[in-house]
Amino acid sequence: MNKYAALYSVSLKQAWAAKASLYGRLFFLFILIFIYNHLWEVIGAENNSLELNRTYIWYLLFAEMIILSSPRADRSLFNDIRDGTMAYYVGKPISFFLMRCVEALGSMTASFVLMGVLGSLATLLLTGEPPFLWRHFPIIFLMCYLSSCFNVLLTCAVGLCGLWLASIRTLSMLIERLVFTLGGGIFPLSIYPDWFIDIAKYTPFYSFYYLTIKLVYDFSWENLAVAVTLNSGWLCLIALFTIFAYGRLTKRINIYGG
Amino acid sequence: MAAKFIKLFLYVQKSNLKTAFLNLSDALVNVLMMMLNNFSYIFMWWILFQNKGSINGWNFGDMALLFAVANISFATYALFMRGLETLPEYIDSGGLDNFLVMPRSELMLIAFSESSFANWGDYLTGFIMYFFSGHIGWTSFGLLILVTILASVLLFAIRLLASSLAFFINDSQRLGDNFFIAVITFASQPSSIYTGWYKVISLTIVPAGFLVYYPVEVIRAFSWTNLLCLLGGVAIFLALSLLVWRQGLKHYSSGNRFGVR
Repeated sequence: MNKYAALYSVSLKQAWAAKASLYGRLFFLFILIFIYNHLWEVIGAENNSLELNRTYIWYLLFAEMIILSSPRADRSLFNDIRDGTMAYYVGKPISFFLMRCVEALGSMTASFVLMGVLGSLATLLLTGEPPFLWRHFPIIFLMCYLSSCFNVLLTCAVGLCGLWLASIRTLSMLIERLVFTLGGGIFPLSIYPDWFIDIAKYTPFYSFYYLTIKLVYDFSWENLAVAVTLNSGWLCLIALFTIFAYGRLTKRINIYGG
Repeated sequence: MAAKFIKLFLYVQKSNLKTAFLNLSDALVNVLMMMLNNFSYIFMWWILFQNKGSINGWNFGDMALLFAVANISFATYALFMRGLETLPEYIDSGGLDNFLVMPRSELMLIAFSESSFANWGDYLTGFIMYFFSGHIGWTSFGLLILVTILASVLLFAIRLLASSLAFFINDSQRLGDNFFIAVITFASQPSSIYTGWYKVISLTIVPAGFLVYYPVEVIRAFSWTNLLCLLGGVAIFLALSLLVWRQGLKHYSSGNRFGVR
């Protein structure tokens, strides 16, 4: 266990040292907040609902913290499978998949915390009061961090699909778009029609993203319990898939490289 | 000179197509997935317009025209100039040396070096959205082709600026990527919301205005002023990006990497 903790720590420090990368993500986050704040202001003014941008911008901030903080673990895993790097590690006394996952988690944590602190300050400046009570903030922050961890696992699971696909680029993009639509990554699902929400409920995106982030403007202990329960269930399913795919992969490793 | 350049361009594109067709079913699945990806984004905006009716005078037809311009120009960039995305990697690793000793324009060779077949899905999405926009006609179609060519040249310039950061900043791949994505994101919003300072920013720091606002206005209600503004904006950003590229090359010191191409 110590070796994974060491990997997590090294990866976190590396991500912290890669300032250009962190600034790039922050720049993108600020641009998103800036654009959508204005969009919701315009829509709010047209509909006489001036609270609209305050609610939805804080929602967007937490959604983007989850989505943007995740490193491109899918691409690195895919490349490792294809170029034989995985074959090199498979004989080492460490799980290759867990190693890459833990590295991605370390990198994600650095971005998540930085975006959380600076993004919250920027959003506070734009909107004034947040739509949640400050005493709920640590719980919301922790829940979003856990969702970000699930997001990393999901990304790694996509990388493992390199076992069956010649390229995962479009699959990754598709998953990103599903996060935005079925997970309410940009607009909350509350603006979508009921039939669409009913479909979204059967996907992991609904609870990993929407239910968790919704706590920002609709916090209740009941909503929290539902989010925790559903997230745990989906986490088990994705973990089972990764165990299965990784098992298949290690059996075929001699075909791919080394 | 121009004939040789076109011959090389066509040869590289033929090779890219041949590579994609090695696994035809995979290539077609990727095109379909790209379209699904695009339409899921468009769907989000359709829902918003269904709820709100219009946003600052723009209806979904105008937004469809914006998606047509954005998708067609991005497809042109991604199919023919995507190699610029790997420029920071070449600079950091010294791989740029291999291009510098080539007897053709190194910038063009780098730009052509990568192509993504899946982006044919963007072309299809763009043309489908054009037919849904309500601005159909031979003149508007001609204008669509003209403005998307100009917008793809602008995308080339923006990507070159973003990638050239690597000459001056270490490990700037992600920074450049995020800057480029920020411009695309800015460009994917209804242009009608950009007024005042937002409009100034969309024409300078994040030049999304030249990418979609002027192209869409040229098609919606043609005026020479808008077309000249678009031409001027593209020319300025292209000149700026080439200047930064030239300065970057002067700044570049070889990675002393040995390789044969």
